[in-house]
Amino acid sequence: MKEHSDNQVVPDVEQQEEQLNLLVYQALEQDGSLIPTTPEAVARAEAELDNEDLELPATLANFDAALRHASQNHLMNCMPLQIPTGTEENLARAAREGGDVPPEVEAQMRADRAASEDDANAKGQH
Amino acid sequence: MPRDSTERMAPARAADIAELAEEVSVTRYPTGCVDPGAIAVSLGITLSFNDYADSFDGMLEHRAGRFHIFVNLRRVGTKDSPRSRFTLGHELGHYYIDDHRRALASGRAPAHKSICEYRSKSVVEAEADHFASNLLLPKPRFLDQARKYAVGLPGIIKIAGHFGASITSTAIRYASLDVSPCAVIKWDDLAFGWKWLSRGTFEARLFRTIESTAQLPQDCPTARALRGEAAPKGYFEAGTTATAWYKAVAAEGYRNVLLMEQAMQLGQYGVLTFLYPLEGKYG
Repeated sequence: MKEHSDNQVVPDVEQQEEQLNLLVYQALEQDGSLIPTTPEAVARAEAELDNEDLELPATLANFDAALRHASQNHLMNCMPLQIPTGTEENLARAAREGGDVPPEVEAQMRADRAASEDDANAKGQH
Repeated sequence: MPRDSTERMAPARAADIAELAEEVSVTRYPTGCVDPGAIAVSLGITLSFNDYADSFDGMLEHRAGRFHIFVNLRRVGTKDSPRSRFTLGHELGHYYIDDHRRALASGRAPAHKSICEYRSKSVVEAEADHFASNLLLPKPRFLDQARKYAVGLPGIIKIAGHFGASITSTAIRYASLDVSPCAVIKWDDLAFGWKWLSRGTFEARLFRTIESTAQLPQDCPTARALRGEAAPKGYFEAGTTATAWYKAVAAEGYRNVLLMEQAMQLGQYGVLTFLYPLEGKYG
């Protein structure tokens, strides 16, 4: 604090900046631009939401719906995945490493898979 | 340090795969044995276990929008055998590793006939093996177990039993986590298969081991196991020297320390040799 010649106490520049920051922070918090981070701010935000009687859109009604909506609409702000090169060729080469599957074994595999899928369907796993 | 194709797996890629597998393992099975079959079922992947001749250990197939795993009992033994569990873990690796799954699901890669447990030279197979190892033998829990036992095959056998893993994959994990300086050598069909060296062995510049059965001393544990002699404790063991096993070690050199050589028959899967310095270090 500094004292003027007429003895009036005024805040110094640092304190003024601090007060300004606090006011800006509170304004942004009340505006919804900042997520409340203190118990008081959360309580205040919840009280305000109660008064506003907001209704969420169906796509945000629950987490599953929100996730489904996001995946259907391909979030535009996702980072593109770095896909390693050569995986397909390597998988194909590795597939050739094994011996050939004889036709009778292939038929057995088809039958086993169908039975396994039928079983899973019956149990409601799909 | 592996000798084969896993050398081509970039360290960052290996670390990512290990982290992914460990996350799955710890999240789903914080204690006890990991059940890779149950994980597959929870992901909507159907399973078949049967005798599919001799062309693969396991296969992850994508058809009509669904994944399916075939496990070849002729190659892995029973449905619940350690080798079967490793094969399931391996196929889950092809599913969990994004670019493998995407390539299979898109049809750009053919249905995958896997040769598991570090026998394939393919890098994608090494990646799936790496996933299976980290899934079934997660590092923190593995180290907890490993610290309970003295170095050597008896401890590795106990650790393998604890995790329901094969002796081979447990010994490799033991070496790759550098629990103690050691070397793991696998012999298939009476010939050298592959070897894994722990970091400690690698840093001692002990790279070149005996890789021919003709060079083995007649009565050493490995030779006896390869001859199919009956092992009284389930494995053979005898003291040896570094110069007997490592070509670069001179008889009068400071690295020519005493080693313990242990060898175990793995039935149709060959013989495993485990070597470690008796004093816990090389010179």
